[in-house]
Amino acid sequence: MYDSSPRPVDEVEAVVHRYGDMLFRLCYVMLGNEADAEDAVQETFISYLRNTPTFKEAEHEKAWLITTAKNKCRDALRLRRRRPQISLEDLREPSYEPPDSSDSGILEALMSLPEKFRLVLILHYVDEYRVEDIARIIEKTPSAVKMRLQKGRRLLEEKYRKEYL
Amino acid sequence: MDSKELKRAVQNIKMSDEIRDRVIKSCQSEISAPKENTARKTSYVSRPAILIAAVICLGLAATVVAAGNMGLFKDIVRFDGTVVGTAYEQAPGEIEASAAIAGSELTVTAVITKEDILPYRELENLGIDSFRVVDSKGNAVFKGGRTEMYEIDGGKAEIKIFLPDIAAGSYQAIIDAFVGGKKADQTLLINGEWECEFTV
Repeated sequence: MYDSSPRPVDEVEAVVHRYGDMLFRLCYVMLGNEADAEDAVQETFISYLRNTPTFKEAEHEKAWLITTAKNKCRDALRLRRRRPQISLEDLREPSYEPPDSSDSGILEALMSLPEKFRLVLILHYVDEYRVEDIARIIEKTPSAVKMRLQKGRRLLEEKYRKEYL
Repeated sequence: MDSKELKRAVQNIKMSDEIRDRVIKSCQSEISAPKENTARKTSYVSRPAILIAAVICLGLAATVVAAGNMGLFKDIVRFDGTVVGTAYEQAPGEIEASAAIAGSELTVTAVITKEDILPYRELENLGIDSFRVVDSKGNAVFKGGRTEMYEIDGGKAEIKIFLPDIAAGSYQAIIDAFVGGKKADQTLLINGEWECEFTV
């Protein structure tokens, strides 16, 4: 459902505080650098303001934001493929440096996976979404999500063992 | 690696305060900016205006169809973008060509069918810029460059080409371009493709 009246400023601030980290994590893992992740998060919240959707439950709001952020990331990746502006080396080396070196290895391994696996792995293992909910968010069947989770998990472990252990 | 390690690694990624502030500010400026009117505007267009527009469109379409049968002038542009001359394109329908051979001399008769239009009404003489002669199997037996210029008389020019000895048989002279000339003026390439059959 969409409401035409703009959201008050304090509500926007509250939403950014509530979901900002979660969306930033998702966008960062999808896009591989802080600047692009910031842009995607910003565009997601701006879409939220422009469309002013109303939700019955907070979970629906969160799912809407995730879906929108995922689409913004895909737009950014598409644009990057069409107009590459940074070297592949830059894409491989994330600007974010987690304090723990094993965390850094896991993150790098995760970010080296194809985008479709990254998304389901984060939603399931980090944001603890159920397979059915992920299926709704990414508009796939639950069995397709299960397959992606299995394959993504296997690829991630292989990559991590091979390059970071 | 277990799922807890993956969760911890990803949860370490946090939006910095600086980024959060920037996002909030841009959202706030989005709210304060005047909202763009996205409502569909309905506009009234009078019937006479639609009729006039339709008549103009039909007129233009007819002109375009008519122009489609005529050649057109085109700039010759050097690699660096400098215009170095003018050519006349798509002219086959404006010149009729035929060929006849006598000994080693091939005579190509070019008849201008539209004498009263430019560039033909200004041209004084005509030659061939490039041509080839092919045998009945389509094999090129002779290729030639620019010929001498011959006077256009009564809308007709007879262009002489010297051909080396070729075996008896049916041939076709394929002309890729004529060249037109006028005293004290630059020559004009007239591009197209003309096929003239002749028998040796």
